[in-house]
Amino acid sequence: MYGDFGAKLVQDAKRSRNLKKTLQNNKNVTDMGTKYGLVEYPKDLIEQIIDETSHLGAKADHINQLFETNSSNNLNDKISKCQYFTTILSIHRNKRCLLGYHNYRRENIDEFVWQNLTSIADIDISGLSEKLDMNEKEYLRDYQAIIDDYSSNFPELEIKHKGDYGLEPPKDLYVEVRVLKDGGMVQTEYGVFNLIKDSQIFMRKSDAEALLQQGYLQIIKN
Amino acid sequence: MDIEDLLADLQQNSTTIHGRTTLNNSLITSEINTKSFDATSEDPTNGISTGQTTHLNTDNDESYLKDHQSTNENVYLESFVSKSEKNKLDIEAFMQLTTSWRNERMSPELLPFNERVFNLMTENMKRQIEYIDYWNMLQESETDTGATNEMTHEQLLLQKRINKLPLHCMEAELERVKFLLRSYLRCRLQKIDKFLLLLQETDQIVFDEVSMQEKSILVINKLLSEPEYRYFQQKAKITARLLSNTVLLNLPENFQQINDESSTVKMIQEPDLEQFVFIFVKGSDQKNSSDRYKIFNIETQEEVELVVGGIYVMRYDLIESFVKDGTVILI
Repeated sequence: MYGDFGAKLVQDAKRSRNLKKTLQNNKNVTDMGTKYGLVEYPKDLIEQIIDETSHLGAKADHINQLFETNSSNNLNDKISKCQYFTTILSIHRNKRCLLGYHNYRRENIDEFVWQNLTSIADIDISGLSEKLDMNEKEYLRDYQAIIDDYSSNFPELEIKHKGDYGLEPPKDLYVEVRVLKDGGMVQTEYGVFNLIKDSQIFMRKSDAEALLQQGYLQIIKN
Repeated sequence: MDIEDLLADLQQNSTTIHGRTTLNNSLITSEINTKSFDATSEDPTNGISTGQTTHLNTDNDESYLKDHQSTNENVYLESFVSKSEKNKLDIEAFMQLTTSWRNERMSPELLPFNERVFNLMTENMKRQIEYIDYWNMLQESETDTGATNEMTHEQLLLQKRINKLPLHCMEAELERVKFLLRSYLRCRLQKIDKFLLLLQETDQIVFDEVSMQEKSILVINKLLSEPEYRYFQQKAKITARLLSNTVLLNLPENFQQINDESSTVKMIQEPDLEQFVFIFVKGSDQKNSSDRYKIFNIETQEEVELVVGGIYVMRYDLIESFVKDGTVILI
C-alpha cells in the first residue's frame, strides 16, 4: 500500500530517538552513531520511497491529462478527481516522511558537532562516518566550518574550545578529575600534567574542559 | 528592579567555592571558603563590583589571615568609590544582559539582539582578563624578589596562597560572566537553527541609509547581529543543499519546494506564540508612566491588569510588546 514505506521510515526514526534517550546517561556507550541516534543510513528504504513517489507523480500527471481530454462523463469525473486527490496526498505524505527523517538526522549531526568540537578529527575512528550518507558527511564538515567561523568572532568566550561544557554554569574554579586513558604530558598555564590512566588530578576547570570533551578525563563528584 | 533584588536572585545560584591546593608533598592544606558570592565581577577597574564578604578559615594562622583580608577589602572600597560613575553603568549593563539572557531563554521566539550591552560586557571582560594577567604577573615577581629571611618556607607558601585569594575570586567571577555571554549566544544560535526556514522567509535585502550599504532587513532591525546573520545564511545554505540532494531533487517536478503552497501541512516551523510564560512586571523608567498596565484579550473578552512588581502567568502573545520595550521581563 502506498505510504507504508514512509511510515516505516518514521518509525525507525522514532525507535532510534527512544534508544538515544535511554542511552543518554550511559557513559559506557562507545559507538558514536548509537549515542547520537544515528543509525545506518537506510539507503534502500529511502530509494524505495522515492521510487514510489515518482510512480505516484507519474500517475498524477496521467490523471491530470485525462481531465483535459475528456470531461464528458460526470460520474467518471468524480472518481478520477478523488483518485487524483489521494495521489497528491500520498505524495505529500511521502515527502513529509522523507524530509522529517532527514531533518531528524540533521539535528543529530548538529548535536554531534557541538559536543565534539575539539576532537572532531577522530570522527573516522568513532565509527560514525560509515553511518552517514555522502551528503550528510559534507554537511557535517560544512557545519564545523560555520561554527569555526562564528566562534572566531568571540575568541575570549572560548565557544569552540568548551563546546557543550560551556553551557553548564561554572561552580568551581578547580575540579578533581580521574584520567580515563593515557594522554601523555599536557601543558597548562599552571604547570604540566602527566595523564596516566586511573590517576587523579586536581586541576583548573578551564584546562580540564577540553580534555573532558575528548574523553581523557572524568569528573569525580563527591 | 533594583540591585538588591538582583543580588538576592543571584544569591540563590551562588555556590560555595572550595579551593584546595596541594603543593609539595602537601605541606599545608588550607581550605578557603568563599561565601556569599554574587555573580558580579569584583574588579576595581572593570567595575561591575559590589561589596563582598569573604570568610577565611585556616588552621595555621587565623589572625594573620584576617588582617590581610581586611586590607584587601579596603583597597576594593577605595577604588569602588573613585570609579563609581563608570561602575554604575557597568552594573546596569550586567543586569540588562542578565535580563536579555533570561528573556531569550524563556521566550518562544527569537528576540532582538542586545548589541550595545553585549559589546560593553565583552569589552569589560577583555579588560578584566588583562587585569588578572597583570596582577598574576605582579605577584609572581613579588614572591621571587621579596622573599625575606624572617619567614620560613611554610609561611612563604601560605602567604603566596593568601595573595592568590582575591585573584581566585575574580577568576571565578570572570568565568560566570563568560558563561552568561556564552549561554546567551548559544541560546540564540539554537533558536536560529530552529526557525531557520522562518527567518529565511522574512529575510530580505534592503538598502540601509545609515551605513549606506545593502543589508538584510534582519540585521537592520537588530534581530540578528552580523556574525549571527552570517551563521544563519551559511547554515541555511548547507541545510537546503543537504535536503535537496537527498530528497527534494528526487521527487516529482511539482513537489520540489520545501514549503509547498498547495500542501495542507506547513513545513516551516513557527514559534508557538500562545505558549504560557511567567512574567515579572518591572515598570517603565519614564517619569509619567503609571504603575498599572491593561491588557485586553480579544478571544476571551477579558481584561487583565498588570500591577508593577507582580508576577503573572500569561500567554506570550499578549505581553509580547511589553517584553520588547522592557516593561515586563520573563522569569
